[in-house]
Amino acid sequence: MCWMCNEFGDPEHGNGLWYLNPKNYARNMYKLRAPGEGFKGAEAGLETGARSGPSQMDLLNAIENNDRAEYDRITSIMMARGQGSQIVALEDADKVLELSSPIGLIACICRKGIRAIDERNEHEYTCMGMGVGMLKWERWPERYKGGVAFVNLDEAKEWNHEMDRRGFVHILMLFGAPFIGGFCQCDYPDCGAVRNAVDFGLGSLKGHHVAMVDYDKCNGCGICAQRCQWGALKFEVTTEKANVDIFKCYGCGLCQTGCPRGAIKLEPRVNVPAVAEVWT
Amino acid sequence: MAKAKAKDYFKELKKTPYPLFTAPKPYSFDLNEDMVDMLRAEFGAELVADKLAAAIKGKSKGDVEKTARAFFTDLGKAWMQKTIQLGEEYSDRTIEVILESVDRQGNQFLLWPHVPQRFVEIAYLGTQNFLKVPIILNNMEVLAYRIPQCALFAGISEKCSKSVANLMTCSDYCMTALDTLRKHVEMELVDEQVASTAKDGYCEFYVRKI
Repeated sequence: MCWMCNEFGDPEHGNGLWYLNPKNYARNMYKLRAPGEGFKGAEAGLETGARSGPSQMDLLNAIENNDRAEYDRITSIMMARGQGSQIVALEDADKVLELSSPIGLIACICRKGIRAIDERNEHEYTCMGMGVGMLKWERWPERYKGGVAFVNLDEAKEWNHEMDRRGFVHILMLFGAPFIGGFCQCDYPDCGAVRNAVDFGLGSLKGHHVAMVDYDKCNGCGICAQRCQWGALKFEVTTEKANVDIFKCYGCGLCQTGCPRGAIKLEPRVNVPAVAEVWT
Repeated sequence: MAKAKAKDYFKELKKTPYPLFTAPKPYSFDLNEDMVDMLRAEFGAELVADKLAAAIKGKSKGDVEKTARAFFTDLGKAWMQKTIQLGEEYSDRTIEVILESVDRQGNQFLLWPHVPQRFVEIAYLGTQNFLKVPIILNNMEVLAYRIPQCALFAGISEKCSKSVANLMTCSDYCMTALDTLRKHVEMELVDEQVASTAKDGYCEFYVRKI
């Protein structure tokens, strides 16, 4: 189990997986403000929210300056504030959607930054906002220029499967631990979460699975290697089969869902001693 | 034919001051504060505790529980009816977004659990002392919430006695209110109290969709 499961999991739900604990999706719709209290954090505006603590840029600066103490200080603040994310395979992704309401399809904030892409309509959405906070999306018109499309559960699952088919990784996002408020559909190099993980070993926790190749079934077509966003899968020239580097594998399951021969299975991370405690 | 003199727009503009842009009233996503105050004026925890103290005054020990339960059953219904009336009268953008969300089949798919959740939050924010209702679950199956340090329980302890409070007759207040809400929203729901302040230190209610 990862530290999030130890902290926020419930053994009565989803075998203790923190993201299958329905309480982590619940939040009040309203609050009264104490006299004189104004808007705080993200409520006051996206920039205020983003600037209210250390950013990933501060982390990168710490790495560049080889300043371990600063790096540890920043990561401890980020953990305490509940900033975090975890990779989830498609099978669990469907269960996650059943626990959250409302679900709104939205454009990706990372792609806006990296690609300078503004969404024009819902066909350009990729990510999902979850929970009652999404009901107030109009507070941040600059974030949601193309709007938000609220979808029912069936539509959300259909969307998620389509994103999986296209090759996006499903990543759960914390919005103040343990509240799960976002379900991103990510790829490298567009997404901050994937990029930070692959390039700097920062941010996202690995998923609770590890991909394993069944060499009897694998015909070496290489589709899985094309879909892997983590550089964990490669075509072995000698064996003419796919091979997984389990230390690089994030357990997203894109290789499994893309394999036309069913030659890849997802093994629970805890069953693979070498990586049972490897989460970043 | 005399040539029409071109209009001097700048001169015209100087005559009349440039109209200042007035932004339309921004959306409010919060509950209307007047509405909350109105509910508190009628159903504030201290006020209800005072009314209960008056209702059970002079009653024999055996009659206190019976009287208190009848009192809370009636008042619980009135409390939620007032909540619903005010909640529908004083809209906000949050509930508008819920009502406007319609799926491809034309269903307002966000009504459950968010419409009942809104009324529950109004009801307790307008009567208790906390600034937000601790919602434990809100998904397609269950709406659950906790009432920590209930102001009504404290009020009954103070105005009546600790032993009267420990009878938990006030459970009827919350349960009748939930029942009234269930009838209003016309959904197949089951209400259940799973923890009580007297026994657990807090009350916890589950509303399940069948």
